[in-house]
Amino acid sequence: MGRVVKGTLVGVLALVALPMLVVVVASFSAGETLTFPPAGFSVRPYLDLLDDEVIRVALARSLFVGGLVVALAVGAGVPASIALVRYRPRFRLGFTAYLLLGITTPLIASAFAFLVIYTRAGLIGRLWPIAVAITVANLPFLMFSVASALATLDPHLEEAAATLGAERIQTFLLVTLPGMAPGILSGTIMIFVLGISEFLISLILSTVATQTLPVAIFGSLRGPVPPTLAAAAGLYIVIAFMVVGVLTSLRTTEQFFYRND
Amino acid sequence: MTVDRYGRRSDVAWGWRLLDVLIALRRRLGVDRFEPYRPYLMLAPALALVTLLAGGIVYLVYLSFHSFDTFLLRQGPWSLEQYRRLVEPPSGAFNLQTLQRTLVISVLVTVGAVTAGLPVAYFIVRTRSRTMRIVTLVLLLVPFLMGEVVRAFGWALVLGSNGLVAWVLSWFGNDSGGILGTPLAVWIGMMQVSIPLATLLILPALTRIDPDLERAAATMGAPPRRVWRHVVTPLARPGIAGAAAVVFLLSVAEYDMPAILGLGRLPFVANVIRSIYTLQNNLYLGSAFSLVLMAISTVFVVAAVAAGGIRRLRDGGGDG
Repeated sequence: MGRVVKGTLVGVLALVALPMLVVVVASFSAGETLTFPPAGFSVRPYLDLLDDEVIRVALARSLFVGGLVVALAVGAGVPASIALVRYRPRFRLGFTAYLLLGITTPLIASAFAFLVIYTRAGLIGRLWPIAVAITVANLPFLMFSVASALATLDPHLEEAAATLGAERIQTFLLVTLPGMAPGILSGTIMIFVLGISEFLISLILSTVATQTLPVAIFGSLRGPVPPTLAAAAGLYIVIAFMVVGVLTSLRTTEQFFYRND
Repeated sequence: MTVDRYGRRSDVAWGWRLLDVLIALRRRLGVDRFEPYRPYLMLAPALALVTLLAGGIVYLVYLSFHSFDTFLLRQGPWSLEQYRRLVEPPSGAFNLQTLQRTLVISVLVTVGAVTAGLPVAYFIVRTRSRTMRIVTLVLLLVPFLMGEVVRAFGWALVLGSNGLVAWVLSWFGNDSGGILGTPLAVWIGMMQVSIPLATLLILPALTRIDPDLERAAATMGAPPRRVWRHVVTPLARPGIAGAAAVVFLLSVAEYDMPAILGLGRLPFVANVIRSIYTLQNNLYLGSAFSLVLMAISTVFVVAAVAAGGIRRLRDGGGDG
C-alpha cells in the first residue's frame, strides 16, 4: 500500500481523534474556566455535573426524546424495511425515495418545515413533537441497518421453514426476527444516540422550557466556558465510544460498512 | 411430566403455547384477507411520519408566496414579496453573501472530504490487518454519534484563544491566539464528520473492485499513480458521486461550526434563517430562504449523481 494512502490515513485519524482527546483532557481540569494546558487536574467537573440542575433537567429531556425516537423509529421503520426488502411492493423505488426525504432535505429546511406546521398546530413548547421531527430526519439510518441485516439473511431459510410446515407467524418469529435481530439492535442503539445528541432540530423547535442537553451545552458556550461543560461533552464522547464498541462486537459494523457481496 | 385431558403436556414450553394462541388469533381475525395489502400496511406508519415533513415543506411553499406585515404580524395576499426581500436592500446583499459563503465552504468541504476519504476507504478495504480495519472504522464512526455540538466544542478547545493550537504557537513566540473566526477554522471543524461520512459511503463501491484489476495494471508496468487514476478512481466513481452528494447536503445545513468556530462572524444560511425566526419572528421570510437553500442543494445533488452515472457509462465505452 502506497505512502500516500498511509499518510492520509494517519492525518485523517489524527484530525478525527484530536478534538476528542482534548475534550477528555479538558474535562478533568481544575479551575473555573477552561484553558489549555489545564492549570491542574481534578474530577470535580464530573461531580459538579451531577449537581448542575440545568444540565440534569436537560439530560432528562434528552433521554426522554431519545426513548421516544427509538419507539417511533422502530415501530415505523422495521416493518417498512421488511416490506421494502422482502415483499418488493409496486412503486418500491418511489416509496424508498419518499422515506429518504428526511436525509435528502437539508436539515435546516426540515427543521423549518416542522417549525411552521408545529406553530400552526400550537405544538411549540412541547417535547414529544421534537422527538417526532428527529425521528423523521433519522429514520433512514435505522432502515439502512435493518435492510442490510435482512439482505444478508438467506431467504431460503424462510422457505425451508415454510416447507417444513411452519405457520407464517412461526416463520417470522423464529426465523426472520432472530436473523434480523443484530440489525435491529444496532439500528436501535444508533438511532437512540442520534436522538440524544441531535442539535439543530431541537434548537429550532425548542423553547427555554424544552431545551435538550445539546441545546443547553450550545447555550452555555458563549463567554468563559466552565469545565463542567467539558465533562458533559466528555460523557457524550464516552457514550459514543461505548456504542461503537457494542456495534463492533455485534459484528454489524463490518457487516454494514464492509460487505463482500 | 403430566398430560391433561386434551393431551397437552405440561413440559411443553409456554412459548409454543403462545405461538398457538397467535396462530389461532390470526385465523379468527381473518388476517389473510388483507394479504394483498400487507406491504402497504407495513409501510403505512413510516409513510405517515414522513408525510408530516412533506406536508411541512408544502406549507413552506405556501407561506413563502404570501406577503406578511412584520409590524402587525398579519398574513397578506399571495405575492413574491418574500423572495424580493431576500435579494433586495436592506438585507439582500448580506443574504446573498451568506448564501455564497455557505455554498463555497460546502464545496470545499465536499472536495476535501472525498479526496481524503478515498485513500482511507481504500486502506480499510485492502488492509490485511483486521485490527487496523476495526480501529479505523471505530474512530470514523464515533464523530457521528457525538453530536455536532460536542464536535464544535472540541474544536473550539483546539483552535480557540486558550486552546491547544494557540498554546503550541506560543512556543514559537506567536501570540496571535488561535484561528477562531476564520473560514479555515469552520472548514477544519466540518471535516471531522465529513471525511468519515465520505469514507463510509465510498467503501461499498471499493469493496466491489476486483483486486486483480490493480495487480494486472501493475504487472503491465503501471506505476501506482496511474493505477489510481485509471483503475481505482473510475471504478469508485458512483461511490464518490454519492459521497459528494451526501456530504454537500450535510454541509449546506451546517449551523454550529459557523456559530462557534466562526464566532458568528461567518454565518451560514442556517444561522441567518434561525435569526430571521428568533429576531424578526418572520416565518414567511424564513420559509423562502429555506426553500431557496433546498432548491440549490437539490440541483447540486442531482448534478453530482448524474456526473457519477454518465462518466461511468462513457468509461465503459473505452479509454477516454
